[in-house]
Amino acid sequence: MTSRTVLLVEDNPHDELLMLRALRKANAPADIDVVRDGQQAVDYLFRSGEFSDRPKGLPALVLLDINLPKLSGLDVLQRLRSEPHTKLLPVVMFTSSDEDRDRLHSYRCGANSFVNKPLEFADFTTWAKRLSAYWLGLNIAP
Amino acid sequence: MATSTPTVETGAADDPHQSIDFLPTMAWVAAPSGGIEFVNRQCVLFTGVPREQLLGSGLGDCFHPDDRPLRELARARLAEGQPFECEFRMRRHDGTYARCVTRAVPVRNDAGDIVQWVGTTTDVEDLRRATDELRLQEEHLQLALDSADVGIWRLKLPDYDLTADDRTRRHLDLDANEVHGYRPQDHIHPQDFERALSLQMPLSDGRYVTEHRVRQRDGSYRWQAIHWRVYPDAADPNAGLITGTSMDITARRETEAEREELGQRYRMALSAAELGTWSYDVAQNLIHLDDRARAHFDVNASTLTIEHCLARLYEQDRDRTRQRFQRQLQESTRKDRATAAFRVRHASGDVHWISSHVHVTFDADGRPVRVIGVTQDITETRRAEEQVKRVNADLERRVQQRTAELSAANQELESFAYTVSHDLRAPLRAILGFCDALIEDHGNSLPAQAHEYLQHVIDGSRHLGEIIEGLLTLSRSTRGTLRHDDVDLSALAEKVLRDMTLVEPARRVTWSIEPELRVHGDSRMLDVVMRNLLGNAWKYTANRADAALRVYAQRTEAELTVCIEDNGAGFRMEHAEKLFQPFQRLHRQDEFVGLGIGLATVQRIVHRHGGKVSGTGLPGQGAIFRFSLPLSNEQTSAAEEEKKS
Repeated sequence: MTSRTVLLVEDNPHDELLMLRALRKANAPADIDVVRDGQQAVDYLFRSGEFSDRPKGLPALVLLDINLPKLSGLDVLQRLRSEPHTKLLPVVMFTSSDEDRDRLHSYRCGANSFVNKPLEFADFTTWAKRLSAYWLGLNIAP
Repeated sequence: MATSTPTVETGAADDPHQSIDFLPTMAWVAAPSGGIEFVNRQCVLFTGVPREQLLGSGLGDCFHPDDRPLRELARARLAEGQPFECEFRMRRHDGTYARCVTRAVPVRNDAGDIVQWVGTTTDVEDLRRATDELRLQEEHLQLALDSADVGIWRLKLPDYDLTADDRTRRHLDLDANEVHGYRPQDHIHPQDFERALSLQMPLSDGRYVTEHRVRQRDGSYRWQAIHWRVYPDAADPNAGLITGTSMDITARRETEAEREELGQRYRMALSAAELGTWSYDVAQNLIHLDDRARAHFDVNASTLTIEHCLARLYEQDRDRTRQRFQRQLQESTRKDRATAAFRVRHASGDVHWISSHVHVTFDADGRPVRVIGVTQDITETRRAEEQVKRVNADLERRVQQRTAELSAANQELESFAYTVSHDLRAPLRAILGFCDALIEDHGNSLPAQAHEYLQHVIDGSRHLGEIIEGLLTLSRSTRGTLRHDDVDLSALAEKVLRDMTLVEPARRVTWSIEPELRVHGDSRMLDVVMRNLLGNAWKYTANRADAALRVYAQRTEAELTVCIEDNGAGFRMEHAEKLFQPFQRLHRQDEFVGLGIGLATVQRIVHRHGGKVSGTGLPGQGAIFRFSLPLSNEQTSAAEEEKKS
């Protein structure tokens, strides 16, 4: 059975709120789980720590911010790519910096996609629509 | 000769030949036919043959067998009736032969007929021997004079009549072999006069020798060694004879002078470099040291054994140096020069570093014969070297420290820029995002004024966003490695201007771009430069209906200066220095919008490329911005070619 869950990893509550709103406006066909730092993301995905009793199953997509407390987005991505059962999990990296090195690092570590966080909300909504249309509609998970 | 002489009886008193009988030479009388009629006493004494036996042809029997043909010659002369003389060897009474000269004269009567021959035969053996000896001696002398190029001369006083052979003539550069009034003292170099003083009168008996310079006819001087002997005249103190030899020794003197100079130089070099010298006689096992070498080893004796010398060395250096020295003595075929450095503790307690260069001479069998060496006190050099090493190490350490500090500072700056880009954007996104959400979700219930205020919040936030963007570009332009791309600035300018036309299609702007403006640089950064400069030109011509832009270049051998000219608002030159400072603007926002960060970015990028940037303007007339970029070698030579043609 195909998962309909998206995991959003975002430490900034404002961005979280704006993204949830944008995804809602975009009518993303999924449940959104939110975690707020890298460690939580790892615990969530590997069902450890505070998420040890989470039901089995992986989300359909992980939206992963790069700048995160505790473990950075890139650290989380590396962990995911080093474990067999999360190796192929679709991960979209996003960040508000448009530094070359973040983009290159992300792809080197195995990100499926890399996007900039748009500054304006109107762009945010378009962004969320496209994102969900592709990853939750068009894309066929491995 | 101590041989027994036969006795001869005295001839009779009435003998007509008595008058010649006692001559000390052999004498004889012969008939016209040649038959001997009389021989005197000496003939008998010489030959040891009795008188009777000698008569007839007996004297001829004493001829040396090899000289018999001469007898026939004598007979032939006899027949001709001519006086004759010949020399042949005759046997003496003791059996030895002596060279004898025979002279014969015919005696004629009134009618002219030969009545008898009278002859003498003289023993010339001693004379001949003496002459031969003399000739030999003369030949030896000549050989000696020839081989040594020695000339001979004699000088007669008081008139100074000089007679010289060809060699002396050449040595003294004389006009002729005989010179009247040649006063040697007039031809001697003034500095050598003292030496040659003994040539002057009064003459004293004896032999003399001097070496002095003799003036030549062309005024130059040549060195001569003159030997002479004086024969004073007993009667006249002013008269006498001087005989002597001359020998040109200029070459030898020059060699000696050169050697002397070489020696002088060598001593000067040693003294200037404070070098000591020593030599080692392998057979004697003794080292001879000069004063400076003695000082280096701090010893009093100038001759000592190797071990004695090595004992002067610092203990730690002794065995090493000894082995080194022994090895050097064995390595005849490999190399005969070596240097060793060792420490010597002086009596004062100071430790001196001494270095010694060694040269070994080997005999034909490869055995070491002699070692020569120089020593040098290198304590100061060593100290200086150590000092330099310490200073270098210190410098290296400080450079490393500075580099680390610098790279830490760069790192910090980079993370700062990163933080700014990330962390300043987040709240801005929240402001803009929630403004949008507010308008979208609750716009209908807000009064008009609230919408107006919200728009101000949005405008302010957007401006802040642009500033952050500008700061990021500025910081990026100074970070990262510079790429080296071939960039066609003409094509780039064309593209930028087309982009601007697309954004503002209503603007009427004409432009001209010089083609083929090719430079070497970081294409992304040069893109930022062109966008900023052309963007400014575009922006500040907004008020003109006939806006015109021009992109062209000025070339020198080393650089290309790109000029971007517009006919826009321009600026006052007294403000020119503010142009390139960040956030400095020459126009109000309601005149021309902008951040004041573009030209600062341009300057940083151009500086990083090793170029310069400048701007000139006139208010209301326009502005020209120039930036220069160094040409690569390839481009430089191409530019030169262009100039030539």
